[in-house]
Amino acid sequence: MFYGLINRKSFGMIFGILAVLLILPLLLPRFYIYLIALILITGLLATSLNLVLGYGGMYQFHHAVFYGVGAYTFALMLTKTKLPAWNAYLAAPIAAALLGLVMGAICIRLSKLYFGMLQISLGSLVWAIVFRWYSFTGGDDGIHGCSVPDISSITSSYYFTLVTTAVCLVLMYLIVNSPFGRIFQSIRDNPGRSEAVGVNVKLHQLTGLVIAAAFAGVAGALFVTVEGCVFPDLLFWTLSLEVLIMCLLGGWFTFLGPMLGAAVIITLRTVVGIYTEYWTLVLGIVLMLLILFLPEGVLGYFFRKTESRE
Amino acid sequence: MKRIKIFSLCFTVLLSLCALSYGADAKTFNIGALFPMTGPQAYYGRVMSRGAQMGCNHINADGGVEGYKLKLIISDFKNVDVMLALSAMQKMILIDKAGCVLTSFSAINLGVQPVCAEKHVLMINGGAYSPKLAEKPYLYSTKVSQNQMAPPMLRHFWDMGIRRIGIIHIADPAGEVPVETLVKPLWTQMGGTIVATEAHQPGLTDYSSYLSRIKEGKPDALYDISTGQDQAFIVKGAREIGLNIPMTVPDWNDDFQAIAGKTSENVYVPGDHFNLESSDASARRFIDGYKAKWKEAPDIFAANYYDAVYNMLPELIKRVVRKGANPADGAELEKAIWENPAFKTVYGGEIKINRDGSSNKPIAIFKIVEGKKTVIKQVVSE
Repeated sequence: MFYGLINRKSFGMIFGILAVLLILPLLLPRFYIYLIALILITGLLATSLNLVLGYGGMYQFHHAVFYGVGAYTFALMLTKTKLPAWNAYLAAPIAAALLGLVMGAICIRLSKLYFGMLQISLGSLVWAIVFRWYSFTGGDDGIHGCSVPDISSITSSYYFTLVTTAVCLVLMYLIVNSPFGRIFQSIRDNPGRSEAVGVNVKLHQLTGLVIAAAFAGVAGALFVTVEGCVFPDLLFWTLSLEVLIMCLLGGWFTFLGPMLGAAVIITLRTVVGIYTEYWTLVLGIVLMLLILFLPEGVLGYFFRKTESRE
Repeated sequence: MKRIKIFSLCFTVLLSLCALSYGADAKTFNIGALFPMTGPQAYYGRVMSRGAQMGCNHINADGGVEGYKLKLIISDFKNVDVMLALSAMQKMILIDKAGCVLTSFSAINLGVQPVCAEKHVLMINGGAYSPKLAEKPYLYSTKVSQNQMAPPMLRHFWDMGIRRIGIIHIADPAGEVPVETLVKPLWTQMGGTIVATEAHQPGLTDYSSYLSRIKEGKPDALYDISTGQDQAFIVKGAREIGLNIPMTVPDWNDDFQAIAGKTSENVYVPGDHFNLESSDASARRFIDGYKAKWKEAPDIFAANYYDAVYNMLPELIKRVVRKGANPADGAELEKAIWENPAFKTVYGGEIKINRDGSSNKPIAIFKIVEGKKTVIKQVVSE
């Protein structure tokens, strides 16, 4: 079901893309650099969701809550403590992973849609706490002016985001192709049979959830690095839905599909959205065509075609 | 061959993107605008953008200002989506080089204000009325805030012989903060009693459970701090459970009236006093032009953004150009405010900008009579 990512051709393509991304700040106006940084961050978030959704077969419907918790942890560390910024970069994924552990331990008792529904409920609870705890989180105002001094400019935050995202993607790729990743995929395909051969299904699923939450936390910290602020929308369920659509659009059975989905949605939302009020109509048509003609997503279709040709 | 084609395509895309940032006309003054053009708050986006656009049209028809033609660039933030507003703001600053942006809604103002402060872009808010918008660099409001509306409204209730009020508010800090820091302390200082306070979930159509609890306390009046259509459903719901007492809401318009119908009688609205019957020539030009173009009367939001574009901004541009500075620099525009913080307004007379970013202008307490907002008391904003 999954299509291989690394072969000689795709290896060259990935390095080509990286090289282009490295020189882009020399060529493009700063707004587009900012936009690409946003795409990278949201792509990282979508790829982390795809770890549990595409590779684990778990309906993680409220993944944005880990993104938001990572972002808030980072912002609170920057604004309420005098510790160096790297502490905040460590704290963000740890806080998100801890929340992933707690929520996962509760939700893992259920499966399929029931898992997803409980996840949405718990995630919404976290959102409500952040939204209402005015003295600590700033309530609906959020927290502003929390930029990292050395990387507050658009270009430097872009390079920082690019390097961090690349490292995270490599780590996630290694995880997916590790023995743990293979077992994780076997659980997705047949949990009963996996259990019969001695796999601890719940433990593997919980580990997968914690790992995905930690990477979402990294994405949250990157968001604050680029935007310099956090607000409760980052933990709201509608963002989770948007990220889910990114996975489906790009191809949830491919490793880089969610990154492509993020690029399409962020570009549509920002560029098309600026020029027309009806960008959601464009997105709706794109999604409709996709469901009808490319149910495995753009990259899924591309890899299937390449595979059948070979 | 295929690779060359792909390379050429990428190169062309890059070149066109680069060209976008350098194509701006030097004698065009771009005004950014962040409005909710789609979604549940689209009414506000519609009237705000119409007011601002009309301001641009009138200035340009008069020959522009100091050689500059005004151009309005509107960005939609849908249902108060801060993330969307942030990226739109970056685009307006970095690509459009907007020196001034028109903003609306408290969450959006607070979200983009640090970006504007960092990049020195002047913000003029004509829609949001949260007290939290005060004391924010580069942010100036032409809409009177809750801080200015609540005291006269409570005094009016007191003068009506009301002593016991029930409070209903949206269950978020935008509702809680003014209730806890303004309405409750003021009313109790005056000697009044608060019989019940209910925080409601936004976006409902049935508020009977909240209203029934308030009714148990036998209030003389109901004080509502909600947003959007919630206000109309609360008014309607109160009457349906027999709570036929005076009520006050922060805002009222034709869309809300369509929901509330006859139940809107005995509803009071404190707010900006924009007189549609004004005889002032510049106000008439706006009102008549708006009616002719959009087949409806302008409301306070249209008037506030028209004021920002037609009366306030051109005056600031003139002051900056006179000094030989660049009017696209928001820092210069901000400095120019303090040369004389009083500006002409279609409300009649002058609007005065305060040091905390709020403004003083004519306000009034309206009563809804047969579906229409009727002035019952004019107040000087504090």
